Amino acid sequence: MTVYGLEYRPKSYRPTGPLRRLQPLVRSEFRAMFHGRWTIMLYAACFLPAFVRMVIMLGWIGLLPFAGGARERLDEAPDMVRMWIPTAREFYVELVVHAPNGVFFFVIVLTALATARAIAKDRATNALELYWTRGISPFGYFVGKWFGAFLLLATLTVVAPTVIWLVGALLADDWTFWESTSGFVPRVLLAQVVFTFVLSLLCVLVSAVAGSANVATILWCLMLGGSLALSLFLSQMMREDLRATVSIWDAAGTLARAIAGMKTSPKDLEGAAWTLSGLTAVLVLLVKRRLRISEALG
Amino acid sequence: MTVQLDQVVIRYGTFTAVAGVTVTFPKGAVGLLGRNGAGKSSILKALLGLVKPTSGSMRILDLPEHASPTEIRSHVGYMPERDCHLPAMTGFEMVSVLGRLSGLPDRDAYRRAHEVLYLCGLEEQRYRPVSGYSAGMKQKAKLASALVHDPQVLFLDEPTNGLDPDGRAEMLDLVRQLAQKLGKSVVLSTHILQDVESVCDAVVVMEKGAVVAQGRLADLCHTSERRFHLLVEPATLHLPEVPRPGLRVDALGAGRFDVEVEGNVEPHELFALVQRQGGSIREFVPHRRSMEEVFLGAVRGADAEVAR
Repeated sequence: MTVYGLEYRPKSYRPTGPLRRLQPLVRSEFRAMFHGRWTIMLYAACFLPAFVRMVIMLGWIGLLPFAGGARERLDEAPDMVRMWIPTAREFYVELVVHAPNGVFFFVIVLTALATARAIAKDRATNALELYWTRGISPFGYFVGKWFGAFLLLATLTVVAPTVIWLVGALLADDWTFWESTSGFVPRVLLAQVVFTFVLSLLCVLVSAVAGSANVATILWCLMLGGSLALSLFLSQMMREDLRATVSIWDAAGTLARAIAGMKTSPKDLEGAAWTLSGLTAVLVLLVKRRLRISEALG
Repeated sequence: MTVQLDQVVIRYGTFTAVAGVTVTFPKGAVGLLGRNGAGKSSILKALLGLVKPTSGSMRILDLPEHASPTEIRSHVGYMPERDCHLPAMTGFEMVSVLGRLSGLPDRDAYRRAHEVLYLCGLEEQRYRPVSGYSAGMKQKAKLASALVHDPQVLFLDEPTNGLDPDGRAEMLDLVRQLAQKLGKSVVLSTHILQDVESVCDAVVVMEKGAVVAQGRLADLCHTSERRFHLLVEPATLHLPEVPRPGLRVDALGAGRFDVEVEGNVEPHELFALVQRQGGSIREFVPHRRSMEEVFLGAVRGADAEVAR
């Protein structure tokens, strides 16, 4: 029976608040990777570095047999190996920010396939006209998309390291692990949140600037991968480490390392701050132009 | 009164899209007619709070004059002209998401999404991705999205765009139901005159950013002259061109005549004439101007005004 038969029922309701209205946007953005079997498998594959760290953690606390005396050897390891020691903050921070051994490649895959396409795809299907003629503003729309992207990325960069640490803290034989790590965990968590916050913001800004979803994906990959390659090349040429200044990924990583309380040079931190703030400012200006009502609605 | 505009001016840079429009949209279905670039879409965008008028004031329902755009939009449903949908969503997901964005609580949004999709005839297709819908189904999905939060006023921008004759008739029937059965105030922006004629009670004609005609359709189409359409049998019946002074008959063929009556002459004098000629009257109705005549009259009047 149709509503014709039932008679149309007028609906009286108490309208929800502006924040609650953003929920469906956040949810749809978060679910972007869960629409197909392949994207779900790809999403699962993104946890590979976290899985490796989890194995190390399980060995560290004695739940998995560790190759003869590895724990003792790691305890005496030099600084550059500290990222593999679960009692060091580097273990959690570098999982996220260290380009060669961390989630770098997987974050590119995840953001390129989901986040970078978000607003560009809406523009291509004229969905902006549907969204903006509802009870939300263009700014609210942007915030909803950004927060959804942040949550999706955070499962990889915040939730995964936190779960690894919790497994170690709760399953270890005694409280030694807890005592030696709980002091730095809040700062590490904050660093990961800030890192994710910055990257998801830049990615959604790129999505808003690009003319199409494919252009957004290419632009974002070039920005992350290209700037990293350029930074390595320039560092070689000038015999000076310029990664924190030229590479967007390393700039955000330097910021995260500083927040986590790890060693960073003031010069690197300054360079990273300039790079990130400059890029954000330029993208915001472009987005303000691209997301104008007349521009988006024709 | 549902929508009222008072001396509204809308400018985009140096271009004036709407030049001091004062108009009232009464309750029921109102056609907003005009050629491309006449200012129809600008008025709709201004009413939705997407464009700020350069000057003038607007009121929708009983909302205060300076109500926020989001507040206005929660009382208004808008069906865009362009082909648009939310990517990777089914019809049900799209309508419920748009309902929640309009301020409906989750539970109500889901329930209403089912109801309006039923109402629009998409009950079978509601779990299919909108990207795979036909043009007619997409139009219906857009209409369902405009209705989901139960707005009092509906702005429909070219709702029959790209539809085949069957789809067009179905869409117009839906719009008629909304205005007549469900008591919605519908503003139908279009340049298809037949759509307005078949659905609307009133019409506003715009040309070059100004309102050139407005009023009830019946009043606008009514002519002051005493003209009638006559259908007689047999179809071969011949009537003289001027049977008597003050009575003028134009043969249109197939038993049809245009009759013009002047002065004190009563139309029933014609009945006796037809009877005398050995025929009978099948139809005798007052002449009504078509929507096309009304529109062209108004638009040409505006053109002549500009030329002067």
